[in-house]
Amino acid sequence: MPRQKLRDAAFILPFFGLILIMPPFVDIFFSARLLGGIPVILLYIFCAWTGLIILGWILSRRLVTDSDTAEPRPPTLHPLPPEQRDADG
Amino acid sequence: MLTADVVVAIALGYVGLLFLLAFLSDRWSRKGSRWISNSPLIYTLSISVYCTSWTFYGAVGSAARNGLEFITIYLGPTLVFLGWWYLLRKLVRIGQVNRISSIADLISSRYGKSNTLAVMVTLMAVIGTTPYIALQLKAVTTSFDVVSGGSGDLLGNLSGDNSGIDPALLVAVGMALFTILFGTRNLDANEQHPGVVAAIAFEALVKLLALLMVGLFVVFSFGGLENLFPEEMSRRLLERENVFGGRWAVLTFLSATAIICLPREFQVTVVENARESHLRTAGWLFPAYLLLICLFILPIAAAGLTRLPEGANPDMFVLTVPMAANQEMLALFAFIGGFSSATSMVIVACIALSIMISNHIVMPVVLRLRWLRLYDSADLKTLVLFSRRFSILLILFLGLVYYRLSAQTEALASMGLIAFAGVAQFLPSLLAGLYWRQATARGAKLGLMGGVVLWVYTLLLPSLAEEGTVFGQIVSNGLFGWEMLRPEALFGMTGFDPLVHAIVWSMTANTALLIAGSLFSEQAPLERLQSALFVDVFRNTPGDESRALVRSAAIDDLRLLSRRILGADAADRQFRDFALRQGRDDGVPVADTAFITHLERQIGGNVGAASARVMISEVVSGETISLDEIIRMVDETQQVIEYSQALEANSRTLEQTAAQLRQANQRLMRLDTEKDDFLSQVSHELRTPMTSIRSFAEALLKADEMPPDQARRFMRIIHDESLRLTSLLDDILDLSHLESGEVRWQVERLDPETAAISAIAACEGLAAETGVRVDHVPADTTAAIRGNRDRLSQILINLISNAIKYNDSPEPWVRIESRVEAGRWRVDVRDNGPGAGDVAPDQLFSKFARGWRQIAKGRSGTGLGLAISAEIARRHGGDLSLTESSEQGSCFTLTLPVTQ
Repeated sequence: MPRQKLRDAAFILPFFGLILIMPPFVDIFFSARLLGGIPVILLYIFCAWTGLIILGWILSRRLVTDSDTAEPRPPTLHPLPPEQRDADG
Repeated sequence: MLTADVVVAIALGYVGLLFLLAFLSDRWSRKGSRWISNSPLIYTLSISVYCTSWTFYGAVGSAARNGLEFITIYLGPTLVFLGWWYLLRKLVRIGQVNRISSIADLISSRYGKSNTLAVMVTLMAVIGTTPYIALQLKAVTTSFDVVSGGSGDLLGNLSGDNSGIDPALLVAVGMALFTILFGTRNLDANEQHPGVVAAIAFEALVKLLALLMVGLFVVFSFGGLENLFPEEMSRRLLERENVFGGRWAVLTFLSATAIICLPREFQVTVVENARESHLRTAGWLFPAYLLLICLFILPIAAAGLTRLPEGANPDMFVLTVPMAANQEMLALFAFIGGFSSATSMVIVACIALSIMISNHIVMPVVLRLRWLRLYDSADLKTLVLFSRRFSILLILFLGLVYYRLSAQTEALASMGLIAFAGVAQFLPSLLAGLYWRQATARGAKLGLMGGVVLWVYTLLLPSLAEEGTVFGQIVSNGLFGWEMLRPEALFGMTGFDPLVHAIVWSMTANTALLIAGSLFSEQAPLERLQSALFVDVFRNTPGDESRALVRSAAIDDLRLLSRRILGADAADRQFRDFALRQGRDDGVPVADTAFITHLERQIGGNVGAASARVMISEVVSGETISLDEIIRMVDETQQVIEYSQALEANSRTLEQTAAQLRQANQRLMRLDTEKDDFLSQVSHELRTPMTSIRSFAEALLKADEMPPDQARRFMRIIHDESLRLTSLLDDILDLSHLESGEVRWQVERLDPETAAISAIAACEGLAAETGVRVDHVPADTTAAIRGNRDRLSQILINLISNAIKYNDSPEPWVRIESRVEAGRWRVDVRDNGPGAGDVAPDQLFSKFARGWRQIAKGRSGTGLGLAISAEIARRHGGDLSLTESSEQGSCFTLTLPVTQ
């Protein structure tokens, strides 16, 4: 995935998580019935949680921070010599 | 039964282990070993200082009382850490670039190094943290009571009064000692404490293991989850009214806020961070840690409710459940786990608060005192360290006092969330500082003040109020007896949970005041500079601000000042390094703006930005902040963003063009091969008739006496071959004219059926010769097209004659069937010949296609007929294709657009 898309995904991830654990979605699974000995709501929350962690793990392996590889800074615009600046301003 | 003595001995042994670990780690890192600061795992574990004894014991209690609600406390931080790329990374970067030493320092630095703000944040942090420390002390005491069998006192004093040594006091003293030893060993410009970090990372493992062990024990001793969680227990724990209501959302919000704003969290996440890339690991590993912590909370709560008598304290289930099963060792391990979570919180909170108190309260006072000013030779470094140590003692003392005062009441239990709500008041100023350029110090002060006042009034006050006191009066009747001002139903906002009510009011007021205050006040020059540095931290090159902030100083004054704060060695190193950077080999840097700024940062790392600024201002002369430069800085950043966006767009266009070029290149290469094929085929085709013409001509020339019959036959062959040659050349010419678009033919409106009829007529002779039956099934409706009749006939003649010529079936037939459909006139030329074999359709219509040659082998024709026909069809806006081909026959289809 291109870098910008990765960043967008990293931005979306916590909001996606928020949607998963907030009503109305969490209400769908609100039930104390048991599924394999575990209450359904608990199963849902832990599954969603694990899923988020895995997504976060995948993203974090791909996102590059500056201290990993000295990411080239955007080219500095050549500052004008002082006299020209004055003329501009 | 575990006796108090055994428990104390084990706890002391554990503390000794911590001291040893911290001591060794400190020594390693002093010797230059970097494994602690290099390890993202240790960094992540140290962040788990978030899980205090309030988690260790309290989560189970909360689960037993309120069901699922406890989990929100861990979901909020999970979300924040999953989004590390945006918020935490920026915080850490700002922290590193500006040598931020605490959350108070961060907020004060951003808003023009305002000392007022720093003091406000510090006081708020102390108010919020002290009860929390008291809570830890209480947890240690209570758990000690439980695990050692009910005596609250130590060393055999069982008389029942409080004259024995309270374990809380022991813990406080022990922690004070630890924190002073490893937290204030010396001044470090980065405020990093490898010994402490290693110790709390170890404690993080201990508490996690302890909780998991108790959880596993519970699950297995019940013989699996089915027995532990019968459906009625699941209902009892989980089915509550309105679980996912306002409280669920507010608690998630609060915990998300706390993971950033709690002083101890800020300390481990931002200040102790050695590398930005550690966040990459913490971003998923810390949520995983929290998940593991939560995994067995509900099973333990369920076990406690089933096994223990009615009325047992759910907050101690972690200990009492194993004890009820006579698992003393497990209970002891759980006690150590709880002890770990309490001590690690106390240690880190003390370090964070002591830095804040000494930097933002003690130092400013000291700096105002005449006799401690610069030209005095007093060593400020020692003073800072001393004030740190004193602060630690003070904080622990306050915690202890608070614990003693409130130990008998239930006030402590609710303290965790109240503290969260208190530090949440930092959030608006913090976020606005990171993302909103125009936020001003006035706005931040107003917001913080308003938020804190409302927090005290709507949350803290009711929690302290008892029936019959003045506070109790206020809570039930409102301030001055005004109903409108009742703290838990402010301005008539009733029907909400008190916590939700307080958060809604305080955060709304806080944010609104911050925004309004910022909109209606101006930024001071320094504030504007700092806001540019913070908001654009990823885009500014370090040292940028020296362009906007021009000042000068005597180098000797600077040396004196920095020696007093940083210590002689560290100061001299700074001077030497910077001189080298300036390209001077005499070791004395020029006291230019960049150097002064650098030095101010270093000093700020030790005493906070606000104090550092005051100190530097003492020795600096002629400071000017150029507003134009700041504006230009912001503008340039903007330009860089636009520039890089333009670059991105450019490179996208370039990529597209490159892709198009690649396609064009492939097409050209294919055409090139086709052309080569064509040339070689043409020469081959021309050579065969030429050879035969030449050889027959030679035979005629050589033979003087040739019977006239034979000579005649030879000449006929020469004639036929030259005719073939001519027709081949005609075809090639025709095709090349067609392809180059040079041929102009007359276009008229015509009925295509007539072209078909004339083509069939033209082929009648050939058909009769070979005995092929030709059927024509014309269309029901007449259609008109625009085109050239002769050329269309040419296509059909070509198709029909091919079908006749190559048809080798015993009862050969060719059927020409036409119809009008979907605005096109379509004619199928179908035969029962051998088909086109497995030749690819596009090759069939190319010049001298190899496959075609195989089929047409040994037959007359130039091999260009289909290519020419396809080209003519294309020029009519139509299409010629092979629609069916099998051993039973083939079908060529020509479609042409109908005109109205």
